[in-house]
Amino acid sequence: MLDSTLDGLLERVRQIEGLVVGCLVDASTGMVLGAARSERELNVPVAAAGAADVAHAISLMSAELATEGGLEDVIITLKGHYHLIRRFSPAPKLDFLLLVVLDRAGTNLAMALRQLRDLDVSFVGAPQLSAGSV
Amino acid sequence: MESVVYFAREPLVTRLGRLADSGQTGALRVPGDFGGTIYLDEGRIVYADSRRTPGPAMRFADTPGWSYAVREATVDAALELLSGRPRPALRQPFREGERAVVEEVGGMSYGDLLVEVERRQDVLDQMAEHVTPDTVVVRNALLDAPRLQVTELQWALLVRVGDKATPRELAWEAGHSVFSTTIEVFRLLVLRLLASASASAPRRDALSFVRAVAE
Repeated sequence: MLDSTLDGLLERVRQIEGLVVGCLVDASTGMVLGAARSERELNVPVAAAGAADVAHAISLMSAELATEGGLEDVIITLKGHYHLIRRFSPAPKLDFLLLVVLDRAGTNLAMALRQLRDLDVSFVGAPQLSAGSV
Repeated sequence: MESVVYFAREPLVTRLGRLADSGQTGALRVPGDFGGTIYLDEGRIVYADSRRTPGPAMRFADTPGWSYAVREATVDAALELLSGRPRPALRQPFREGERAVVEEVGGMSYGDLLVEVERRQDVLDQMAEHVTPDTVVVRNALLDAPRLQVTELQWALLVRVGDKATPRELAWEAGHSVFSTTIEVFRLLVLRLLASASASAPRRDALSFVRAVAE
Protein backbone atom coordinates (compact mmCIF):
# COMPACT_ATOMS: atom_id res chain seq x y z
CA MET A 1 0.00 0.00 0.00
CA LEU A 2 2.73 2.40 1.00
CA ASP A 3 4.83 1.28 -1.95
CA SER A 4 2.29 2.58 -4.45
CA THR A 5 1.97 5.90 -2.65
CA LEU A 6 5.75 6.20 -2.45
CA ASP A 7 6.07 5.44 -6.15
CA GLY A 8 3.53 8.15 -6.85
CA LEU A 9 5.41 10.58 -4.63
CA LEU A 10 8.76 9.83 -6.25
CA GLU A 11 7.24 10.14 -9.71
CA ARG A 12 6.19 13.66 -8.80
CA VAL A 13 9.62 14.41 -7.35
CA ARG A 14 11.06 13.54 -10.75
CA GLN A 15 9.07 16.42 -12.23
CA ILE A 16 10.97 19.03 -10.19
CA GLU A 17 13.16 21.02 -12.53
CA GLY A 18 16.90 20.46 -12.10
CA LEU A 19 16.51 17.23 -10.13
CA VAL A 20 19.71 15.29 -9.52
CA VAL A 21 18.41 12.94 -6.81
CA GLY A 22 15.26 12.62 -4.78
CA CYS A 23 14.92 10.05 -2.05
CA LEU A 24 12.75 9.14 0.86
CA VAL A 25 14.51 8.26 4.09
CA ASP A 26 13.23 6.91 7.39
CA ALA A 27 14.44 9.53 9.88
CA SER A 28 14.35 7.00 12.73
CA THR A 29 16.67 4.46 11.15
CA GLY A 30 18.35 6.23 8.22
CA MET A 31 17.05 3.55 5.81
CA VAL A 32 16.43 4.65 2.22
CA LEU A 33 12.82 3.76 1.33
CA GLY A 34 12.88 4.79 -2.30
CA ALA A 35 14.77 6.99 -4.72
CA ALA A 36 14.36 8.84 -8.00
CA ARG A 37 17.40 10.10 -9.81
CA SER A 38 18.53 11.75 -12.97
CA GLU A 39 21.18 10.23 -15.19
CA ARG A 40 23.90 12.12 -13.35
CA GLU A 41 25.95 10.14 -10.85
CA LEU A 42 25.47 10.89 -7.19
CA ASN A 43 25.96 8.56 -4.26
CA VAL A 44 22.38 8.18 -3.00
CA PRO A 45 23.21 6.30 0.23
CA VAL A 46 25.66 9.02 1.28
CA ALA A 47 23.24 11.84 0.39
CA ALA A 48 20.42 10.10 2.28
CA ALA A 49 22.64 9.41 5.29
CA GLY A 50 23.69 13.06 5.27
CA ALA A 51 20.04 14.11 5.42
CA ALA A 52 19.46 11.71 8.34
CA ASP A 53 22.51 13.15 10.13
CA VAL A 54 21.22 16.70 9.64
CA ALA A 55 17.82 15.73 11.06
CA HIS A 56 19.54 13.94 13.97
CA ALA A 57 21.64 17.02 14.81
CA ILE A 58 18.66 19.37 14.56
CA SER A 59 16.47 17.12 16.71
CA LEU A 60 19.08 17.21 19.48
CA MET A 61 19.40 20.99 19.12
CA SER A 62 15.61 21.47 19.19
CA ALA A 63 15.39 19.28 22.29
CA GLU A 64 17.87 21.41 24.19
CA LEU A 65 16.49 24.73 22.97
CA ALA A 66 12.95 23.53 23.76
CA THR A 67 11.61 25.62 20.90
CA GLU A 68 8.22 23.92 21.04
CA GLY A 69 8.39 22.74 17.49
CA GLY A 70 10.28 20.22 15.40
CA LEU A 71 12.08 20.35 12.09
CA GLU A 72 10.03 21.25 9.00
CA ASP A 73 12.60 21.66 6.28
CA VAL A 74 16.26 22.42 5.66
CA ILE A 75 17.84 24.19 2.69
CA ILE A 76 21.54 23.51 2.17
CA THR A 77 23.28 25.61 -0.45
CA LEU A 78 26.38 24.15 -2.07
CA LYS A 79 28.26 25.77 -4.95
CA GLY A 80 26.70 23.48 -7.52
CA HIS A 81 23.68 22.00 -5.77
CA TYR A 82 20.82 22.69 -3.43
CA HIS A 83 19.93 20.00 -0.92
CA LEU A 84 16.34 20.37 0.28
CA ILE A 85 15.22 18.20 3.17
CA ARG A 86 11.53 18.08 4.00
CA ARG A 87 10.33 16.24 7.09
CA PHE A 88 6.87 14.72 7.09
CA SER A 89 4.75 11.99 8.56
CA PRO A 90 2.69 9.93 6.05
CA ALA A 91 0.99 8.02 8.87
CA PRO A 92 0.86 8.40 12.64
CA LYS A 93 4.20 7.60 14.28
CA LEU A 94 6.08 7.52 10.99
CA ASP A 95 8.88 10.03 10.64
CA PHE A 96 10.21 10.39 7.11
CA LEU A 97 12.59 12.75 5.33
CA LEU A 98 12.25 13.66 1.68
CA LEU A 99 15.64 14.71 0.30
CA VAL A 100 15.81 16.49 -3.03
CA VAL A 101 19.17 17.39 -4.56
CA LEU A 102 18.92 19.98 -7.33
CA ASP A 103 21.33 21.38 -9.88
CA ARG A 104 21.67 25.08 -8.98
CA ALA A 105 22.08 26.15 -12.59
CA GLY A 106 18.91 24.38 -13.71
CA THR A 107 16.38 25.05 -10.98
CA ASN A 108 14.33 27.76 -9.34
CA LEU A 109 14.77 27.37 -5.59
CA ALA A 110 11.53 29.08 -4.61
CA MET A 111 9.49 26.99 -7.05
CA ALA A 112 11.20 23.78 -5.98
CA LEU A 113 10.57 24.49 -2.32
CA ARG A 114 6.94 25.24 -3.06
CA GLN A 115 6.59 21.96 -4.99
CA LEU A 116 8.17 20.07 -2.13
CA ARG A 117 5.77 21.51 0.40
CA ASP A 118 2.83 20.79 -1.89
CA LEU A 119 4.03 17.19 -2.27
CA ASP A 120 4.12 16.80 1.47
CA VAL A 121 0.56 18.06 1.87
CA SER A 122 -0.84 15.99 -1.00
CA PHE A 123 1.00 12.87 0.14
CA VAL A 124 -0.19 13.07 3.70
CA GLY A 125 -3.66 14.15 2.70
CA ALA A 126 -4.19 11.67 -0.13
CA PRO A 127 -2.66 8.30 0.78
CA GLN A 128 -4.21 6.51 -2.21
CA LEU A 129 -2.10 8.17 -4.91
CA SER A 130 -1.89 6.04 -7.99
CA ALA A 131 1.31 4.14 -8.63
CA GLY A 132 3.83 5.43 -11.09
CA SER A 133 7.06 4.09 -12.46
CA VAL A 134 10.36 5.42 -11.14
CA MET B 1 2.68 -30.11 -1.29
CA GLU B 2 5.40 -28.71 0.94
CA SER B 3 8.79 -30.30 1.05
CA VAL B 4 11.60 -29.76 3.53
CA VAL B 5 15.14 -29.27 2.29
CA TYR B 6 18.15 -29.50 4.61
CA PHE B 7 21.28 -27.79 3.42
CA ALA B 8 24.81 -28.66 4.28
CA ARG B 9 26.04 -26.90 7.38
CA GLU B 10 26.95 -23.48 6.10
CA PRO B 11 26.48 -19.97 7.55
CA LEU B 12 22.94 -18.59 7.48
CA VAL B 13 23.90 -15.68 5.25
CA THR B 14 25.34 -18.07 2.63
CA ARG B 15 22.30 -20.32 2.81
CA LEU B 16 19.93 -17.39 2.40
CA GLY B 17 21.94 -16.12 -0.56
CA ARG B 18 21.70 -19.51 -2.30
CA LEU B 19 17.94 -19.64 -1.81
CA ALA B 20 17.52 -16.08 -3.09
CA ASP B 21 19.79 -16.62 -6.09
CA SER B 22 17.83 -19.69 -7.13
CA GLY B 23 14.50 -17.85 -6.87
CA GLN B 24 13.06 -20.03 -4.13
CA THR B 25 9.70 -19.53 -2.40
CA GLY B 26 9.31 -20.77 1.16
CA ALA B 27 10.41 -20.37 4.77
CA LEU B 28 13.95 -20.74 6.12
CA ARG B 29 13.75 -21.61 9.80
CA VAL B 30 16.48 -20.74 12.29
CA PRO B 31 15.98 -22.87 15.41
CA GLY B 32 16.79 -21.92 18.99
CA ASP B 33 16.04 -19.13 21.46
CA PHE B 34 17.76 -16.64 19.16
CA GLY B 35 16.09 -18.00 16.06
CA GLY B 36 13.26 -17.05 13.74
CA THR B 37 12.11 -17.48 10.16
CA ILE B 38 12.93 -15.78 6.89
CA TYR B 39 10.27 -15.99 4.15
CA LEU B 40 11.11 -15.80 0.46
CA ASP B 41 8.92 -15.34 -2.58
CA GLU B 42 10.67 -16.14 -5.86
CA GLY B 43 13.96 -15.19 -4.29
CA ARG B 44 12.83 -11.93 -2.70
CA ILE B 45 12.80 -11.63 1.08
CA VAL B 46 9.19 -10.73 1.81
CA TYR B 47 9.13 -11.15 5.58
CA ALA B 48 11.24 -12.23 8.54
CA ASP B 49 10.53 -12.71 12.19
CA SER B 50 12.76 -13.32 15.16
CA ARG B 51 12.11 -14.32 18.74
CA ARG B 52 14.09 -11.26 19.85
CA THR B 53 12.43 -8.54 17.75
CA PRO B 54 8.78 -7.43 17.63
CA GLY B 55 6.61 -7.99 14.57
CA PRO B 56 4.95 -5.15 12.65
CA ALA B 57 2.82 -2.97 14.91
CA MET B 58 -0.83 -3.81 14.32
CA ARG B 59 -1.73 -0.14 14.68
CA PHE B 60 -0.50 0.19 11.09
CA ALA B 61 -2.84 -2.49 9.74
CA ASP B 62 -5.04 -1.13 6.95
CA THR B 63 -3.11 2.15 6.88
CA PRO B 64 -0.58 3.45 4.36
CA GLY B 65 2.08 2.67 6.96
CA TRP B 66 1.54 -1.13 6.94
CA SER B 67 3.98 -1.85 4.13
CA TYR B 68 6.61 0.22 5.90
CA ALA B 69 5.94 -1.52 9.23
CA VAL B 70 6.34 -4.97 7.64
CA ARG B 71 9.57 -3.95 5.95
CA GLU B 72 10.99 -2.44 9.16
CA ALA B 73 10.08 -5.54 11.20
CA THR B 74 11.64 -7.72 8.49
CA VAL B 75 14.92 -5.82 8.41
CA ASP B 76 14.99 -5.70 12.22
CA ALA B 77 14.55 -9.48 12.44
CA ALA B 78 17.08 -10.11 9.66
CA LEU B 79 19.61 -7.92 11.49
CA GLU B 80 19.11 -10.04 14.59
CA LEU B 81 19.30 -13.37 12.76
CA LEU B 82 22.25 -12.51 10.51
CA SER B 83 24.24 -10.79 13.28
CA GLY B 84 23.92 -13.62 15.78
CA ARG B 85 26.56 -16.13 16.63
CA PRO B 86 27.30 -18.56 13.80
CA ARG B 87 25.08 -21.60 14.01
CA PRO B 88 26.94 -24.11 11.85
CA ALA B 89 25.96 -27.03 14.07
CA LEU B 90 22.23 -26.40 13.81
CA ARG B 91 20.13 -27.59 10.93
CA GLN B 92 18.12 -24.85 9.32
CA PRO B 93 15.27 -26.43 7.38
CA PHE B 94 13.80 -24.72 4.35
CA ARG B 95 10.13 -25.44 3.80
CA GLU B 96 9.26 -24.88 0.18
CA GLY B 97 6.02 -23.08 -0.47
CA GLU B 98 5.42 -22.06 3.16
CA ARG B 99 4.22 -18.49 3.50
CA ALA B 100 4.15 -15.98 6.35
CA VAL B 101 0.99 -15.42 8.35
CA VAL B 102 1.61 -11.69 8.09
CA GLU B 103 0.32 -10.20 4.86
CA GLU B 104 3.37 -10.00 2.64
CA VAL B 105 4.35 -6.85 0.82
CA GLY B 106 6.77 -6.22 -2.02
CA GLY B 107 9.84 -7.44 -0.19
CA MET B 108 13.51 -6.73 -0.81
CA SER B 109 16.20 -8.35 -2.86
CA TYR B 110 18.81 -10.34 -0.94
CA GLY B 111 21.47 -7.80 -1.99
CA ASP B 112 19.49 -4.80 -0.74
CA LEU B 113 18.72 -6.57 2.53
CA LEU B 114 22.37 -7.41 3.10
CA VAL B 115 23.48 -3.82 2.40
CA GLU B 116 20.90 -2.51 4.88
CA VAL B 117 21.84 -5.10 7.53
CA GLU B 118 25.53 -4.19 7.20
CA ARG B 119 24.70 -0.47 7.47
CA ARG B 120 22.72 -1.14 10.65
CA GLN B 121 25.53 -3.25 12.07
CA ASP B 122 27.88 -0.29 11.57
CA VAL B 123 25.44 2.11 13.27
CA LEU B 124 25.13 -0.30 16.22
CA ASP B 125 28.93 -0.58 16.39
CA GLN B 126 29.18 3.22 16.62
CA MET B 127 26.80 3.27 19.59
CA ALA B 128 28.07 0.10 21.27
CA GLU B 129 30.39 1.92 23.67
CA HIS B 130 27.33 3.65 25.15
CA VAL B 131 24.31 1.51 24.41
CA THR B 132 23.39 -1.79 22.78
CA PRO B 133 19.91 -3.30 22.39
CA ASP B 134 20.51 -5.12 25.69
CA THR B 135 22.08 -2.34 27.79
CA VAL B 136 20.16 -1.53 30.95
CA VAL B 137 19.25 2.16 31.14
CA VAL B 138 17.58 4.17 33.89
CA ARG B 139 16.01 7.60 34.11
CA ASN B 140 18.62 10.19 35.05
CA ALA B 141 17.69 11.40 38.52
CA LEU B 142 20.55 13.94 38.48
CA LEU B 143 19.30 15.78 35.39
CA ASP B 144 20.07 19.46 35.65
CA ALA B 145 18.31 21.09 32.72
CA PRO B 146 15.69 23.80 33.04
CA ARG B 147 13.79 22.80 29.92
CA LEU B 148 13.98 20.02 27.37
CA GLN B 149 11.75 19.08 24.47
CA VAL B 150 11.19 15.47 23.51
CA THR B 151 9.41 13.89 20.59
CA GLU B 152 6.29 11.78 20.90
CA LEU B 153 8.33 8.59 20.52
CA GLN B 154 10.94 9.69 23.06
CA TRP B 155 8.18 10.44 25.54
CA ALA B 156 6.61 7.03 24.93
CA LEU B 157 9.96 5.41 25.73
CA LEU B 158 10.67 7.56 28.79
CA VAL B 159 7.36 6.68 30.44
CA ARG B 160 8.00 2.98 29.84
CA VAL B 161 11.49 2.86 31.35
CA GLY B 162 10.17 2.42 34.91
CA ASP B 163 12.98 1.50 37.29
CA LYS B 164 15.15 0.24 34.45
CA ALA B 165 14.81 -1.22 30.98
CA THR B 166 16.75 -2.20 27.90
CA PRO B 167 16.09 -0.83 24.40
CA ARG B 168 14.93 -4.31 23.38
CA GLU B 169 12.33 -4.39 26.17
CA LEU B 170 11.20 -0.88 25.27
CA ALA B 171 10.89 -1.84 21.60
CA TRP B 172 8.51 -4.72 22.44
CA GLU B 173 6.45 -2.49 24.72
CA ALA B 174 6.26 0.49 22.38
CA GLY B 175 5.85 -1.60 19.20
CA HIS B 176 8.87 -0.19 17.39
CA SER B 177 11.86 -1.96 15.91
CA VAL B 178 14.75 -2.79 18.24
CA PHE B 179 17.13 -0.90 15.95
CA SER B 180 15.13 2.35 15.86
CA THR B 181 14.49 2.13 19.61
CA THR B 182 18.20 1.70 20.34
CA ILE B 183 18.93 4.85 18.31
CA GLU B 184 16.23 6.76 20.19
CA VAL B 185 17.61 5.58 23.53
CA PHE B 186 21.04 6.76 22.38
CA ARG B 187 19.55 10.22 21.75
CA LEU B 188 17.98 10.20 25.22
CA LEU B 189 21.42 9.32 26.64
CA VAL B 190 22.93 12.27 24.75
CA LEU B 191 20.25 14.53 26.24
CA ARG B 192 20.97 12.97 29.66
CA LEU B 193 17.32 12.10 30.14
CA LEU B 194 18.48 8.50 30.47
CA ALA B 195 21.69 7.13 31.93
CA SER B 196 23.48 3.83 31.62
CA ALA B 197 25.28 2.38 34.63
CA SER B 198 28.25 1.33 32.55
CA ALA B 199 29.06 4.37 30.44
CA SER B 200 29.16 8.16 30.51
CA ALA B 201 26.79 10.20 28.35
CA PRO B 202 27.76 9.91 24.68
CA ARG B 203 28.91 12.85 22.59
CA ARG B 204 26.24 13.93 20.12
CA ASP B 205 28.53 13.23 17.18
CA ALA B 206 29.23 9.66 18.30
CA LEU B 207 26.52 8.54 15.85
CA SER B 208 26.85 9.30 12.15
CA PHE B 209 24.72 7.73 9.44
CA VAL B 210 27.19 8.99 6.83
CA ARG B 211 30.05 7.15 8.53
CA ALA B 212 27.98 3.97 8.33
CA VAL B 213 27.79 4.11 4.53
CA ALA B 214 30.95 5.98 3.58
CA GLU B 215 33.63 3.99 5.39
